[in-house]
Amino acid sequence: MDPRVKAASVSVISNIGILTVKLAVGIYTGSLSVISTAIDSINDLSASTIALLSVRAAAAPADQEHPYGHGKFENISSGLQALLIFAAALYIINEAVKKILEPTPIATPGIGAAVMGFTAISAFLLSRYLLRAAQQTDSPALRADAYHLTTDVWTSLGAMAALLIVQVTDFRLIDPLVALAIAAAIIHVAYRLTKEAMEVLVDVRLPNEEITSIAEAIMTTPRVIGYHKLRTRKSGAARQIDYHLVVPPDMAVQEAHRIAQEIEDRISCRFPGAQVVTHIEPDTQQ
Amino acid sequence: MNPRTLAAGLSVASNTALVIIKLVVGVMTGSVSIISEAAHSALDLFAALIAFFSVRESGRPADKEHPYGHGKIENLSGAVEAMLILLAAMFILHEAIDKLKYPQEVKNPVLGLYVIGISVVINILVSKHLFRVAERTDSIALEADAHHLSTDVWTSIGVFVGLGLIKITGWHILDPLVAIAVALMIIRVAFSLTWKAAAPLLDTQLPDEEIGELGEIVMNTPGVRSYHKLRTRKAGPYRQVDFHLIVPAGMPVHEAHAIAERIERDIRDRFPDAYVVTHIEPDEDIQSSSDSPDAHSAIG
Repeated sequence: MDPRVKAASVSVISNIGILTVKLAVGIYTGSLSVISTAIDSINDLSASTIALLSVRAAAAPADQEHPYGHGKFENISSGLQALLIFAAALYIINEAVKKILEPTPIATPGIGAAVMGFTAISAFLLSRYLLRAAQQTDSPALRADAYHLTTDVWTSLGAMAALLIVQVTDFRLIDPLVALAIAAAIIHVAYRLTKEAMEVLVDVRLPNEEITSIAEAIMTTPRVIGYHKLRTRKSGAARQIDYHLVVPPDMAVQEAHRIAQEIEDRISCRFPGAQVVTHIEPDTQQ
Repeated sequence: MNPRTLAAGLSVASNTALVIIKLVVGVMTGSVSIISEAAHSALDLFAALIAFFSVRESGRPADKEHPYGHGKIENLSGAVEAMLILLAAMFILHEAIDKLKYPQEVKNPVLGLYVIGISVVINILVSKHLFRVAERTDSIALEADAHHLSTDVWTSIGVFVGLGLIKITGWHILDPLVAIAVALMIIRVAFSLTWKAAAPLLDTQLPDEEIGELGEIVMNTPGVRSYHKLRTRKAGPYRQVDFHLIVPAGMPVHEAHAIAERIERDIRDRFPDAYVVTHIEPDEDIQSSSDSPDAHSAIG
């Protein structure tokens, strides 16, 4: 199985598990607040399902319909996941404002704290795992899912801390205030994720270090005179590169092509999965 | 000014005017329904602004940061616009279902009907113009804005039809039913627009006819043996094309390059603003290169 598909599947299954535990505890204890935290888990489950669908689509090789591969499915999915994170933050803000306007006593604080702790730990472990998989496979969809779970860790820890403070000081307002602060942090994450996804979707170039590294691969290849019009972009984990290679005008096509092949091999060696197109151009200075 | 920016600017101006007219009339007459009409036009204005900024951006030439140009900004804006249309349809459905559950007398002041009538006429004119410019300049952002305005027209006409039917039959339930029908039509438009705007974000290939034409242009150029690995995609109005051109192995580079230049020029004659990259390949290498895992020859 593709490692991305595996990681995304683990996330979907874990989220189903967490949701089931919350619902079971909520129904068993009759605690409405526990059941309402299950709503967060539904949001998580939707996000991880979107991630799974997109990495499965992205794993398919280039075909007639998508000649540049399916990597952009991942970028669309991280954009959608960012929207879900926004939605979660708005939900938190809405709840917090309601609590500020109409303070309600916290029902079943003990069970509530236990469920929060369970969510925090499981979300933390899962997000670590996903972040590692995202780094290994350079997958934006998995990274978005990992960020989403990280925001869950913050939410749960914040809610637990608030619960503790309320127990000690009886300062009720701390709960919605903490929630608002966390919502602000979550919105920041969602904004960054949206920006990243949009940049890749509009074909922004690769980072400077990578462009330098590509230029180096071209110029250190024997018999290269020069190059220009280097264009780069990214689609999921795959880099798309094209450039004009300058060679002596009388060189045979066969030989020029061999140089291009060598360059393409060097680039693919540095960036596995890169798709490179070389345009061979005669040196007009000669 | 670029014709796309001009058209998008017209939409911004007309929607601004509608917001102001509705607000003034609403405040003067104290009619809540007219003021809520103003809110509706404010959403249109927001959509028109998105279209305006995206066509202005997409018209900028390729630069360091965006080496493939800025065309995809139009696709993003088209997709966002489709979501706004969907949102509006959801709102209409929600209102209609409320009215079905809690039937109420439909009361629309005569002045309100005039205001809606004016906004229908303006929106028909502006959306017609936008559709025309969108087609001529191949702009998905303008097309999306045009769809947005035309779904507004349907909504307003739906209100008139509903009122007319109530007058004839006396059945107040017809108003929400007409609204639901309109909302369903709008949802269909929103989905097809989402698909049309978002497909290029996924680097979907050009339509078959265009690929056929590209193949013809390549093969009709003197000195061309064959080609393969034709890849195409679109960013806003701009087509991105690359392919492998096969020439005799011993041909000097300057000769092969002249053929490539000729092909690229012919393609740009047919599709202005197309970006073409030709990879020149010696005929002996065809076998070995198409064995590589990511190889896939399109046509030929």
